Amino acid sequence: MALTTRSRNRSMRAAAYAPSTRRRTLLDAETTARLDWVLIGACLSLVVVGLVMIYSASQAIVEEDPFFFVKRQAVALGVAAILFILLMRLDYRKLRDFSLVAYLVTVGLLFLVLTPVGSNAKGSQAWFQLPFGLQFQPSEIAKFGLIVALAGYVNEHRGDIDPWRLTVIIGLALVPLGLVQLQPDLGTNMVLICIVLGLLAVGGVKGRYLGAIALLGITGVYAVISLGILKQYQVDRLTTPYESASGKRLQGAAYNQDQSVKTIGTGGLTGQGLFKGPQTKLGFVPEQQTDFIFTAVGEELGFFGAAVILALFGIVLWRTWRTARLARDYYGTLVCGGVLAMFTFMIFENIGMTMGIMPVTGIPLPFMSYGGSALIACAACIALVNNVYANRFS
Amino acid sequence: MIGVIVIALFSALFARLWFLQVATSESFAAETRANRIRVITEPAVRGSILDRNGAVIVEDKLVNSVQVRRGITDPERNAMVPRLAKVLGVTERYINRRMDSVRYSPYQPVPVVDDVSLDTIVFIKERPELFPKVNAVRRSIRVYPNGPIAPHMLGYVGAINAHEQKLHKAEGYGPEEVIGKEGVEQVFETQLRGSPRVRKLEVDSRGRLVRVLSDRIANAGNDVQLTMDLNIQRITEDSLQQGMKAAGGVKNPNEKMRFETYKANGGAAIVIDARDGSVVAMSSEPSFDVTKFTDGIPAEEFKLLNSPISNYPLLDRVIQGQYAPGSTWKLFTAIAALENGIVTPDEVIQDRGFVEFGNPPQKFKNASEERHGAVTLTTAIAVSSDVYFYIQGFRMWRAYSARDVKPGNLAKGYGVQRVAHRFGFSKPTGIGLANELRGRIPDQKFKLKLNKNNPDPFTREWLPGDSAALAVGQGDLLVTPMQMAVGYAAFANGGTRYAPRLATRILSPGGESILRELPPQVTGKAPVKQEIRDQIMAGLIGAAQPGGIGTAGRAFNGYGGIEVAGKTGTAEVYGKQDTSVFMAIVNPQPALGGDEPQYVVAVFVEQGGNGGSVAAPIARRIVEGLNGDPNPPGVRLVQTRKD
Repeated sequence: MALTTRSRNRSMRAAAYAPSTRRRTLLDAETTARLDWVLIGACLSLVVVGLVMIYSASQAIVEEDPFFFVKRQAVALGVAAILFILLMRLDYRKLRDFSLVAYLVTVGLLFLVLTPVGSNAKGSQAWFQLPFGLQFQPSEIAKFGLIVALAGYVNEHRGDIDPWRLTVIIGLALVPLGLVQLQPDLGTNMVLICIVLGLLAVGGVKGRYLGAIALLGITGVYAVISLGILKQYQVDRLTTPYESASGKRLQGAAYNQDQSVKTIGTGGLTGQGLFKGPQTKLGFVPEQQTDFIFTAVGEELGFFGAAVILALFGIVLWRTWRTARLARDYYGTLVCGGVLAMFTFMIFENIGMTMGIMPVTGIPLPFMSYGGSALIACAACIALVNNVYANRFS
Repeated sequence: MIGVIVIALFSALFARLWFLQVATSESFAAETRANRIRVITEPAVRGSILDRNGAVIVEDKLVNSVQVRRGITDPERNAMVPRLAKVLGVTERYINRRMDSVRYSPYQPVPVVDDVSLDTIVFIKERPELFPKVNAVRRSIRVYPNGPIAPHMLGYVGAINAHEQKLHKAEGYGPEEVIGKEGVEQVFETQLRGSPRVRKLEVDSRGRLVRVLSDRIANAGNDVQLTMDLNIQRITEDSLQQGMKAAGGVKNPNEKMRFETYKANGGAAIVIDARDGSVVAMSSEPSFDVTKFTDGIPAEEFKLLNSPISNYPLLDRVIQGQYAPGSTWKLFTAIAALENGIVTPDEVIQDRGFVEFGNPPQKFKNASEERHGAVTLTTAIAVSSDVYFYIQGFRMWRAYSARDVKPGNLAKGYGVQRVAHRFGFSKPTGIGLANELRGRIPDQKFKLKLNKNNPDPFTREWLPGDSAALAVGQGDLLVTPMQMAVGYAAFANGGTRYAPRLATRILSPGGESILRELPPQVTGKAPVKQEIRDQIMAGLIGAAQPGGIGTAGRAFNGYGGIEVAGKTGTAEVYGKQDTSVFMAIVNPQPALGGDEPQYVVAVFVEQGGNGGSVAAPIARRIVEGLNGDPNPPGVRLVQTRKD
């Protein structure tokens, strides 16, 4: 394994860091001051709006407790905050040395979830049942894991990604990809492919290789669909936007997207008002608190509200991109590039899906969709970017 | 590079957001509104249909109906259905089919059985554990307190179909609401229906009620009083059935078909009031049981009603049966001949049983192959001399063939056609019932069209044979029984053509007050000079003179009521047995200025044989009913010659 070559230099590198005198408080003042508060502000705004919209979209689902989903999301937010602080206390360059560990943990979790230890919901073997009725979805964490792990490998071979190393990277990526496909979860896999492409692009892989890999990815997705590896409902989901005009009775994914587009359209310029959207309140959009959370924004807050959300996402991407440019070392740039690719794809695919310009896949909207694992993974990624940002001078 | 991609993707999202929320928002708003608003209509009590004396023919009756509520679970249903079937005396399959039927709204309970006895209701209601989700409600169904009658005229009601939904979009019919399908129920739908209770409900995505947006109360439908007389209608139906049944056993007297009996498998009988076109009775056979339609008829039974095996019982032969009228048409030929001076009432014509015409001469025989000897117009009508009328036909054809020689010749040549148009033939009578047929009057134009592609140009000519056939009501001529009744009525009443009138007035629910009178409708004038009318009427009176020499003399033997004029007809139909026809005018010469009723009776029996033998006796019994006999003696067929 190529990653192990680095361990020889570990002690040497460790000596280069300053002694850890500043780790007595939760987060020392110096680090706090150096955080990217614009990025954190944007993310927090998104999370808060997300909580409000989750309440709006889910209040009628559990009759006894309109705050059921909000409470669970708040718990996840707490965990995410703790993880964020823990990651901030760590220098990201330390992570570089844990690339292999991150990779193995990711693959191990993805493998474990397929065993009887994991549990099945909505046709996917993708969850671990935790106490108190909580669940944990390892494929969300896999996004973070893959960024950390592959960035480490690419960093190791900076400017020297020959076809063989490229093959190794693809091989490394294919293991989690295959495991996720066994769940099956095509949406997550598409995100993982984008992360790989993003890392390779930042890693200076030649354009034609990138093109070949993209082509390979598309062929792979196409093959997966046409060779019947997917369940019919997944094929339906992917193909719906391209036959929406046929006028047939809408079912499943097509119904979902049709309702989603209509709901956003109903919002108009200023929206129906918070908690007043009839489509949202009466539950006409299935999965609205999770993947289709943007429809609630569209209906209740209107074009202005949705535009603000898009702008907030724009800020997140901008700050991530900026951090990639400012990063002190190549590894930081790579990590930020991976995060940037991941967020860009997730945001475009998710919001595009709710507006009927992208196919329906199970990809959550970062920071906003209900789903603890996704929120925690997003927080971890933002922590990573912030870590790079905070350490850009040291 | 990455920056460019990100900006491009975000621009796409912004553009799409703008398109959905600003550019096309309005259309989505309407669509989502339809998403969550359900309109539930509950029909009002439908109006009654009354006869001319105010007797109830059809009304809504409140019955105890057993319903099964939606939301019953499968185990509940599997346990309950066999029990319910046993208690209600129906099969499990019947209940299951009802519950699965798409005819019933998913927001409303399914009515399973109507008109359940109170004991059964109590039994079911006391045992909710045995009959989960089973409920008893009072609901109204269509009933016939005087027995089912006049199905073709009254029509029936049924759940609205997609086509009718589209047609009545503005009136807001509920998906399971009943609507008049045929006949009076259809014609007076807007009056009978009333206004339903309409509730607008807001529901969530699972169809659960969120709140009531509006609730408009129901208004019962208005009553419709018909011109129909229940008793005469009953007599008319019975008479037609009796006559047809009796004719079915009669051997065909025709030499060539000696071994077959008449089929007599279809017929129509009409009584209209000649003074205003009121339909006193109308009956079409074979008929159907209208009560089968009140709560949905099984598909296979409905199919049989539209099948040649049963000879199309749903067909209303009164307005949808097209027949050659045979000799009953001679009335109109006589008017045409006299008006155009083709014959005078006193001209004596020798009837040797046949007449020859053309070169080489072609023989036109009397249908009866009998010699009537010297006949004038009056006797020719009474004994139904074909020769006399063939000769009128030939004279008209000569005028037609010389149409370019003298002005007025074309009018002469088309005399019968012109009279026919005047008396309302080849157009709908305007009765208002759906799908009325027009019949047809043949002329040169018709033949041109008919034989457009025939290689023989001769077939497109108007030939002497055409004129002769038209003169005796044969050939390409087609009429409906109602057209004949209207034509005879216009002749009888002195020249006013009325649209057959079905209803006299609209009454408020319960018949408390008159909301609207429905006056007779004049559709045209058909004047005939008094002296011509008198001459022809004398012939018609002669034809039905009880025991006389007329073709209906035997049928009316011993009759002693109001004077009857009439005309028999035996129409030949290619490939079928003869149609037996009789047209009667009851009270042909009413006193001037008096208020005596005058009726026209029309009887058509498909494949029934001679007019005088079958149709005339049927008409006689109806006439006896019109004389006030509530239960006239049965139809007695008589032997007569063909005419």
